[in-house]
Order: sequence, then C-alpha cells, then structure tokens
Amino acid sequence: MRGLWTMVANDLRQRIRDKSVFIFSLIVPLALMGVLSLVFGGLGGDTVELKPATVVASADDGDRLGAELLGAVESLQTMDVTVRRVPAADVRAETKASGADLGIIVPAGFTQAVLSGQAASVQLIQGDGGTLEAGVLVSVVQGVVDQFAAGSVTAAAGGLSGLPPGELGPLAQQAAAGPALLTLTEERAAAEQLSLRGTLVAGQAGLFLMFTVGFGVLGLLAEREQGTLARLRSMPITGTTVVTAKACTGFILGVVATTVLLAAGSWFFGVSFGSPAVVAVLILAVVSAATSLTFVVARLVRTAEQANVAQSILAMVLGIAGGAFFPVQGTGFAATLLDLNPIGAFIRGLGISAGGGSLRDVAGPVAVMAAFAAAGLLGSRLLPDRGAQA
Amino acid sequence: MSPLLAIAAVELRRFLRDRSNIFFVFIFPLMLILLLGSQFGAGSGQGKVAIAGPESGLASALAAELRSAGVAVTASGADAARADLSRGRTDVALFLDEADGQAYEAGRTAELGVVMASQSSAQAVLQQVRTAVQAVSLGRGQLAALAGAGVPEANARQALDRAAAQTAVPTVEIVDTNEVTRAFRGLGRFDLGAAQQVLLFVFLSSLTGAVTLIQGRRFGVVGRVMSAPVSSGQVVAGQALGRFAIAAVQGGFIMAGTALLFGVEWGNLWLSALVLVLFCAVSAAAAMIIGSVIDHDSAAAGVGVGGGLVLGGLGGCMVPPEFFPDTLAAISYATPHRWAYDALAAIQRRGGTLGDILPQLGVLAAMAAALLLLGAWLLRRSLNRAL
Amino acid sequence: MLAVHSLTKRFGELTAVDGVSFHIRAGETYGLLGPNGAGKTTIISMVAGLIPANDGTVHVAGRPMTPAGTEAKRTIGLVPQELAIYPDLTARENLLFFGRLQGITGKELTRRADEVLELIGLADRAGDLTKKYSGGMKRRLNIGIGLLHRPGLLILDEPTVGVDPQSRNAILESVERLSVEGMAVLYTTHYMEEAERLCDRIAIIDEGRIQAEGTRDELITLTGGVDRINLRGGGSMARAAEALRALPAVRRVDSDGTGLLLTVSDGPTALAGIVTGAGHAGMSVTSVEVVRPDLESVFLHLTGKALRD
Repeated sequence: MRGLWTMVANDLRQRIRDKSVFIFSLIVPLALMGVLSLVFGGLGGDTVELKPATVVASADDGDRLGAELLGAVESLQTMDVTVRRVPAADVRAETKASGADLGIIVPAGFTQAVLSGQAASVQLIQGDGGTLEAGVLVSVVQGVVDQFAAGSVTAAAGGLSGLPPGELGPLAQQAAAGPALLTLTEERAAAEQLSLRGTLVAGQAGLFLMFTVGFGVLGLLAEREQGTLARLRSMPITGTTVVTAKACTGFILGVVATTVLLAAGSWFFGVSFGSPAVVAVLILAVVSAATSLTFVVARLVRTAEQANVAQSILAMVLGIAGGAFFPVQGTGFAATLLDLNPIGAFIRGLGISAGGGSLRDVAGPVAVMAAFAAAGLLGSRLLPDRGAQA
Repeated sequence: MSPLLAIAAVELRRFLRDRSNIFFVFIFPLMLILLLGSQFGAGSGQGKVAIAGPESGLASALAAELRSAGVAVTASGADAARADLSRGRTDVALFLDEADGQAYEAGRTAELGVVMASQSSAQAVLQQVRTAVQAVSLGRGQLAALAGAGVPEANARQALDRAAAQTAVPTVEIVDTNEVTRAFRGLGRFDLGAAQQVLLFVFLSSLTGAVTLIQGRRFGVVGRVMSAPVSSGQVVAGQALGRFAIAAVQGGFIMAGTALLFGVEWGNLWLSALVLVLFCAVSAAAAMIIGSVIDHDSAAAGVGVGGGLVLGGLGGCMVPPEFFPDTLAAISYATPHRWAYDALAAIQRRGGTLGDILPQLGVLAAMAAALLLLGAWLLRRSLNRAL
Repeated sequence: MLAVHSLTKRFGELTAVDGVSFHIRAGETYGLLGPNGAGKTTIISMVAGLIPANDGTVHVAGRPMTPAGTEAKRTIGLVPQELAIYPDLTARENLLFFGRLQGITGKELTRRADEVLELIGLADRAGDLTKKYSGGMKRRLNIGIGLLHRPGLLILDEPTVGVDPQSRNAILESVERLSVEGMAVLYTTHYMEEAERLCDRIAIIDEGRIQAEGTRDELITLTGGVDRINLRGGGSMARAAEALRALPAVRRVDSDGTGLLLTVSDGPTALAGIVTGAGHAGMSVTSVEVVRPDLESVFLHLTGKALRD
C-alpha cells in the first residue's frame, strides 16, 4: 500500500512539474469554453423567455381587420410587442434601419377584400436580427390571417348553402372569432438539459477529461521508454501495484481537472449544475469510465506516441458524439449508441442535476458510465497485451 | 535537387509516413464534415413536435397542419415524448387522449395538453403549435357556425370545400428575409461545413505539426543539416516550404474528398485553390513561429491544439460568422480564417470572381508575408540556439 | 547470495538462454562476458525478476526470485543498461522515490540518499532536474539508485557503455570498493578489460549458454597456455625462421615478409634465446613484442568468434 501511494505521489509531482497537464487539462478547455460561448452566443440566449419585440407596421386608417390584426400582435400574452405605425412605403426601410424584429404591410382595402372574398396579401419583412421573436410574430400573423380566411370561406359556404345574405356577416364573425373548440393548456417540461453555455462547459470538461486521464495509465509507456519501468519491476512491489498506481494518478488528475473545469466554468459563464453531491457522483463516474478506457488503450498500443494519438482519437470521437461541441441527435440504433457514450451520459447527468435532479434521478446516466467503466476493465483483461505491460 | 527542395521533401515524407497523422489529418475532418452535414445541413432550425396519444382524426389533422407549416412531426407514446422533451430532442409535445379525439369529431370543446421543452427555440415552435391548433379548431368552428345557421353537416362540409376552392382568401407573404437567411442561400448540405472544416483543420494540423521542428532541434538533425554545405537561409526556406507542402496536401485532400464523396460545390476551383494556397502559407508560417518559440514538444502540442481550435472558432469555423454579434464579428477579422471564409463564401455561394475576392486575398497574402518573415527570423534564431 | 539453476528462456522459436547455472558468493564479483546478443541481458532480466523463466530457478539469499514475488527483490539492486531515471525529478527526488519503494523511510532514507549522492559525486548538483545532467552524471545516478538500499546483490548490466573514460574509471572503482565491503556483484560486459580487472570469476556466454566459467587464469589455461612473439626487422628471415624452429620452446613460426610470428610455450622465459638465435641466423631485429593470452583469445579459442564485431 505504501508503495502505491509513493508511486502516485511521485507521478503527480512529475505531472505537475511537466506543464503539459495544465495546458491540456485546464488552459485549453477553458480557452475553448470561452471562445465557444462567444461564438455560440449569437445563436440565441439561454433563456426560454421571449424578449420584448418591435414591429414596424402600416395599415389604412379605419381598416377594421387591419387594426384587428395589429391589435392581436400588440396584445400578445407571451411577449411584449410594440407596434410602430409608418406609411406603407417606409415599412421596409424603417424595419431594416431601426433593427425592428418584423415589418408588416397590411394592403390597402384589406377589410374590404377579405369581406368580399378577394385576394389580399399581408406582406412581412424580417428584421436583420433573425430573432426568435420574429419567428413567433410571423406565426401569430399567420394565425390571425387564417381566422380571417376561415371567416370569409364560411360566409361563402353559407351563401352556397342558400343562407340569406344578411346572416353571412355574423356567420363569418362566429366562425372566425367564436369560442375556440380546441384550447391548449401549457406546462413546462421538467428541464433535464443544460443551457447552451452549461453544455459547452460540461462538454469541454468531458472531452478534455479523456486527455487528462491519459496522463495516468499511458504513463506506463513513457516509463518503459525512459527505462524506469524495468527498475520498478526489480523493486519489491507487485506489477499490479504499478498499474494501479498509474490508474490512481489518472483518476486523481481527472477528478481534480474536471472539478476545476466545472467550477471555473460555472463561475465564468454563470451556469449552475445543481447539487454539489450529485455533481460529485457524476464526476467520479465519468472519471472512472474514462480511466478504464485508458487500460484498453494501453493494451492496444506499443509506444507512448501511439497512445497519445489513440487517446486523442477516442477523446474527439466520444466528445463530439457526446455533444461536447454541439448536440448530436440520432434515431434508432444511433440514438442508443449515443446514449451509451460516457461523455454524453455525463452531460445528460449534469442536465438532470442542473434541473434540480437528485441522486436517484441521475441513476440512469451513472449506470451507463459505471457499465462503461466495467466494460473497459473487462475488455482490457481480455485483450492481448501489445504494449505497456508486456 | 536543391538543398531547399530536399529539406522540404524530407519534411513532407516524414509527415506522410507517420501513420498517426492519417486519422487526424485525413479521416477525421471528413467524418466531421459528414456529421455536421447530417446534423445541420438539412432541416436545421426546423421545429420538432411530438404528438403523443392514440391515433385519431384530430391527431392527423394537427400533424398535417404542422407539417404544412414546416414543422417536423413525430408520433410517440407519452413517456417517450416526455423523455424527448427533457433531453431537448423535441421542442414541443402535444398530449392527446381518446376523449379529445372524440370531442373533436363531435364538435365539442376539448383541452389539449401541450408541453414545451426548456430550450429557447421551443417558444417559436410553441407558437407554431398554437397557430396549427387554431387552424384545426377553425375548421371545426366553421362547421359549427354553419350548423348553427341550420345547414346540415354533410351539406356544410360540401359547401365549405366548394367555397374554399372558389373564394380568394387573405394570405401572408414573407417578402423580404433577413440577411442571415440570404447569406446561406444556395448552399448545399455539406458545403458550409466543408469550407469551415478545411480551414480549421489545415491550420490546426499545421500548428500541431510544429512539434517536428522542435524534435528536429532536439534530435540533432538540425545540427547535422546545418553542418552540410547549406546556408541557414536555405534551411529556413526549406522548412517553410515543407510546412506549406504539408498544409497544401491536407487542404487539397479535403477539398477533393468532400467534392467526390459529399458532392460539395467549391465554385470556381482555381479561385478556391488560390484561397487555399494563401491560407496554407499563413498556416505554415504560424507553425514556424510556434516551432521556433517553444522548446518543449508536449507544450507545443497543447498550444497548437488550443491555438488552432480557438482561432478557428473565432474565425467562424465552428459557428458561421454571419451569426456573430458585432464585436465578435470585428474580432474575427484578426484571424486568417475569417478572410479565407469570406473569400470561399463569395466563390461558393455567389459565384464570386477574382475581382470580388481580391481584398481577402490581399489580406491573406499580407498575413502570410508578415508571419513568414517573423517565422523565418525566429526559426533562424532557434537554429543557432540548437547548435 | 545468488544461485541460478538451469535457467532457460525461449522467445518463440529462439532459445535466448539455454540451461544456464551459476552461483555468486557474498563479496564476490561475477562477470558475464559475451558479445552483444549473447543472452546476457535476458539472464539479468530473469535474475532481477523482470521476466519469467521458461525453466530453471533463481534464488537470491535463499529466496526464490519470480516476477510476481516481492521478498527476493528486497535483496537486489538493479542497474539497467539503459538509463532508468526520471528526467523531471532531481537526483535526490529520484533516490528518495526508489528508496521508499524499497521500504526505507524517514531519517534513514535521507541519510542513505546523502551517502549515495556523496559516493557518486553528485552531492552539489542533487537539487537539479536530471534532464539537465550530462551523460556521465546520469549514468552515475543510474548506478547510485541501485546502491541506495545496500542490496546483498548488485546487478550491473553493461554499466559503462557510452561512458567517458573518466566516469568509467570512477564506476569501476566504486564496484571494486563495494565488493570489498562484502556486496555480491553480478556484472555483464562485452569489454574484456573490465571483466579481467573486476571479476573474481567470469562466465563466457555465447548463444545463450555458458561456454566456460572460472577465474581469469583458469580460463586462460583453456587456450593451452601459449604466448605469441612478434619479431620485426630485416636481414635473412628465411634462415632465421629455420633456426628458430629448432628451439624446443618454439611450436610454430610464420613469416609475413616484414617479420616473424612465433607461437611459443612460456614466452617470457624463451625470449632471450629467441632474440639471440635470430641474430645469429642473420636477422637484424628492430622490435620484439610478447603477446600473452587474454580473455579475448579465450573467447576466440572457445567460439571461433571475436568478442567484438
């Protein structure tokens, strides 16, 4: 036991002295988190709440349906909309110039056209922000115009059915604006996913963890290349102790680096991952999975350089598939495969814990990581040894 | 062969012979372009709605309405829908039960449960669901209104169908889309990813390749080369040419590979190749700087990976720079990636001519020249240090 | 201290070590002399418990040595042929680390580390990272680590390869001193001068087998105890050769045009008669060289090969 800790302490001292562990495990991932959060920042915020929006619109004074349309837009419950009226000719220029979300041109004689069953087109101009709010507004306008259309179709149908013309107006009114048959009751889903920035922080931490744990078991190959492995073997310690010490080194570095990255990430980028206890369990699980993978790599490669390459390949493939840079979706078999990815499971677990999940709630992701760790250990027993331990 | 070419050829041969390079330099970029294309190329930004519950006329009417609004609709069980919601795999889920379906058929009112996922895109999709539900509801309302006026249902249906065919109804028309949408018009599924990744990886591999310069110094190869009758200027130029050849081989491979495998349109090939050549020159020069300044190979590898990814990200190789906020967009012009990206965009999307991309080419050439001079000076100093 | 019995190691088809047996007593220095590839390092690797043997046993101080066992390993100190030190640690840190693995702790550990640093002449550079050391300094530290825990058996695998003459002499001197202090030493080399100078007994290894074993003198008698005498000069060489062949001590005379090469039993005694005889026969002798047999000639005699390529 003392031999084990002597070796772990010695390894840690060397890794700390050799700056590369800091570069790979802390500086590069933090820099990437920063840059990614900057560049992804333009893709939309972290909140689901809609921001106040501005609409530049034109409609004839006294156009009843036009006023109704703009009124519906202005009185939306889900977002705060300001409608600014300008002459029709200026809508486009004004929308672009003022940075408004949407421009609406209600054509002249709109009400008359709708009521008399003539074609009329409401023109929309998207603002250059390409905002989410603009998308919502487009859909709202579409809905209101659909209502008008339903009214005029109903009126026409009434006429075709031989109803007296006097009844058609109220009929249209009833069809368009009568009490809706289908109503929606909304709820918010239990949030089990991280915000955009949260995903970046968790993803980069998971990705670079794969590099960090490589400093452990794969260090065996470096020991062999610098000749010290032979000397260790001549010492009164067992071979298992040597390998275990390396695994412990990788594990400790992994836990420390991941903890620091998550802590620094949530500090810099203002994300919360939920209960520290749950996060700690997730970290231990993902580091175990990553460490066990290094055993497999150590079996497959012959030199330290090959080990670095193999480890980098695994890190990038698992990291990207796990959603370290952008969420990856799959269906059927691909989705199952993605679910079994330890980095994916780690990000998912953090999502659940960020949403207030307890230890019980993260059991699924933890089980995936534990199974991965077990499979890695077992696999490394079964694989023929090509390198480090030969 | 002149000493200069000999040095460059040896560098290129060493690079190609190192099998560990094959994956990251040749296979990985293509894999990533394939993945990005399949994830984002088509239907990206498309809203996703899950409809949970038994099959019914209501469910199919809603699905049809949503699809016509450009939303991807999946039918699933309630538990699966909740799981998908919580993981962000769907934006909105509609929960229907048998009673809802029956009420709809009978023209009675029904309340539908709708759940929105927690990602920001879900709000817009929810509004699309509202509009679709309203449209389906309107169809029923029309029937009910006519029935209320004494028209039998069968007749009412017929009349509505005929009326819909005859009557001109008001429509909504998006007459002017935003700049971002316009910017990507005419791009194939893999085109954007291919342009971004070729820049990202050529630069990244060049930087990480700087490690061989350091090893060359350490293993004493540099010393031996310098003891041969070659000037240090020739050594430096040979190294620069070697770095450049490596970058050009990789860039050419990715361009050809994506064109053949994924049908990526590179526009006018001569112009795209010209952009790539200048970008390779910048990459090679940057590699020489790193290889000269840093003496420890694993530190250089870290700086190479970190620097390559960070500059690539800032230069628009991860998220298209068209989405950048203004400050970031301004910063992005400090990277060679952004200039090359803009030039490739002009060629790929707008059929740009040499005249159109002259400013970008000029900036890339200037960057290459400046970095080459700096790199050559630093490398020459480091060679002296190695002796 | 060390008993090796019928040790055999096969790598696939190749039998690298074939039934090797020998023993070393406390205070004795035992040399394995043979060319590169003879199997010396494989023997050492099994003796130090780095690799398992296919057959045969190794006992150190009465305890069996196996790769898995740890008891026997407390008694040995290994100095591998390749450097085996951590470049990112200082000399002292290297010593302390390997000392702890040997189970030495506390004040005892620091005291021994100081002693070893003094012995290998690195006391004033003990705090520098070893990657900044010269080749000779690294070699000395490489040996020092093997000495730290005062092993009963010190195993040195070609410790002087690639070492400058000054460091080499220092290394040989310390081995001699340790042997005097009672340490058993197993020493492999392909330099016969080192084996002759250091080793009490020598095994000549070739193709995985011990070809001969014994003290230097015992080995040399195997060659038949003949010396060579090399006469250079001018004059009537043919007549001189004729006359010398008649002398009783001379077994054989060859001529190469510029001189005569004689094979003689007990050269030093016969020398005077030979020089006088050659002069009388009309040869003007300008130089004389007596070549006594050495391990090189023993090796040549036993294997028909030169020790060095």
